Amino acid sequence: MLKKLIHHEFIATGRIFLPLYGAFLIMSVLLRVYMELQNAWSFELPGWLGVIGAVPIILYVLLFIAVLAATVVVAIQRFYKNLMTEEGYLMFTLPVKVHQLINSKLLVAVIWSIASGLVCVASIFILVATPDTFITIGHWWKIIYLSAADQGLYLTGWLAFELIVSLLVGVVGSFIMIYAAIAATNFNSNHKLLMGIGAYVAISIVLQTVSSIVMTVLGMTFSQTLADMLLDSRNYMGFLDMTLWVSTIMSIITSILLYLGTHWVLKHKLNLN
Amino acid sequence: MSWVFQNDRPIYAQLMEQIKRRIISGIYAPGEKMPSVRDLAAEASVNPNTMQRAFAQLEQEGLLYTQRTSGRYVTEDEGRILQMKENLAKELTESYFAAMEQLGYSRIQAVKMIAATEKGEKES
Amino acid sequence: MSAILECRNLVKQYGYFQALKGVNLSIEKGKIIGLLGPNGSGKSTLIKLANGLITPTSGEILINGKAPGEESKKVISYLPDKNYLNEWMTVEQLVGFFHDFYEDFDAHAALEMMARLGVRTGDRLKNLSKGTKEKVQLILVMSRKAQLYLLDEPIGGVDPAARDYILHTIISNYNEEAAVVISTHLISDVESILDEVVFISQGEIVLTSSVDEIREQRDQSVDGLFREVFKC
Repeated sequence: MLKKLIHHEFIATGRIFLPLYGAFLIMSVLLRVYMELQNAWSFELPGWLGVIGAVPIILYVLLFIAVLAATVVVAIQRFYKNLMTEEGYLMFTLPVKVHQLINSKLLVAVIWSIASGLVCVASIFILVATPDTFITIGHWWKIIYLSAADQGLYLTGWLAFELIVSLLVGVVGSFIMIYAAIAATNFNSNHKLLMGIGAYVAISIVLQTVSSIVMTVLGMTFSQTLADMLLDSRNYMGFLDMTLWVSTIMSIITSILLYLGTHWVLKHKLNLN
Repeated sequence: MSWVFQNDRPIYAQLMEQIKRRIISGIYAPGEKMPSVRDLAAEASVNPNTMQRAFAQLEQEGLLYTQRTSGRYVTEDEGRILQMKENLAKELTESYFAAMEQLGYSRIQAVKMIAATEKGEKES
Repeated sequence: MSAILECRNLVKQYGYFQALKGVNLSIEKGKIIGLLGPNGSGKSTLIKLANGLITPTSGEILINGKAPGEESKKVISYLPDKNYLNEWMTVEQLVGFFHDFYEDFDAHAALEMMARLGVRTGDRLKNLSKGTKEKVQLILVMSRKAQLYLLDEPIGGVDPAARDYILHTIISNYNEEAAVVISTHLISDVESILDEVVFISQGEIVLTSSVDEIREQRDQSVDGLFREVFKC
């Protein structure tokens, strides 16, 4: 059943993302052509016509923002509209488990986020890539790597892995936080928007307070170790490692709690009107 | 013939009457297979259980009979159908007399009225 | 015979407003039941509780002896009183959707009924007229071989021809192993297809009876009795 839910979720969201990606990538190509032409002929539009010259860039930026915003807006819209409004009458009468409903939405939202990120990278490549781009990147990478290593920072595959994991956990966590806030709208049928925003702000404040308390406590408890680490440049890696893992694990724990809360509301406290 | 129901009597009883009329008028001929409960219920826009009840009653009265495997049939006993027809005609006549009585006509006057109306129609 | 739907002291409260005030009800298979009451009497609330779309304040509602959940959703076919399907989907996609999720859904029968009604299956729902949309919803719901059909105002706001079609669809599609609950305030329209009626008023059940009983014992139609009970 989860598979089928995911399948239909892709159909419902793909009809927004795919055309948007298409438009964005086409716009990237057009802008590149436009810039190349401008370079080749080195023309410049006189006076107020210069404004027209900026139109392709403005369009590109708007599409860029749209692609990034869509990942969040569509996730909100799919969870709210599809589950908490009339459409919920269909979704909550399907013979599926509540966690399957949440998981299908979450997984698809995360996949589109990754896709949006890749599309943005691709677009930038379209805009600036030249035959020797990769050589340039390799060159810069070497410089960055060496100077970081000089400071005791080793940009290893392991670090990349850690960063990717923590990024992924962050993305998943932020969607779960949005879902929890939307689930909270279920408790106040008259002011849903207010309830949702209020819940989101409240969750953020609580999470931030808790995380700063935890960080402070940890910092104080291990102050000696930390000081040692920071003083000895050879231990930068250990310090980075530890902070990353602590914040990632905390993020995982809060995400699990929020997920369970969302699930509990939708399973036991559902009140569609 | 369309299915019409009055408000003050059970629907199954009205169904029975209307099926009887259909048998008398030959819409359902003697020995003919009846439509299924579900089909006839859908046609008459009534509950299948109600139609089932009407069928069961008609069966008890001997107007329908069931063959275990192939379904329900109209009785082949034409005498039985004729008798039912006469009963119905009698009922109608009685109700005519009753209605005329309410208007103040005696039975003889009522009969004369029928003859006069019949004649009038022929002349015109 | 065992009850497919059972309510025990079922209460649903919204703030200070009690939508259902301790309802006790038992519905058996093989019957078409009219859930009759004026607007706001608690009909939709009862049906939504059975579907698990809202949660009881107290008391119980049981489907086949169990609280609403994944199992009950397999055997209940529900027609809400609003447009609940995704507007951007085509009729064909909707049929596919139902086919994917409901094991008892007969896609072939659904498409056949759509064709008979002249619904173009490639059309998106948002391009259909209100009446056609309602018919599409009903066809999808009635194309399941469910144990319990819960139809909330299936004939609200449709023309007489559409109403006849809808009633016809209900009669010819339901199976004898199932119970059909039709909630409505338009009683004369559905009266002839009901076995039993449940009168509900201000969150309380005021009468349950068979239609024949009402007609035999009171010499009046259910519609007439309803007008008497709910006289303003």
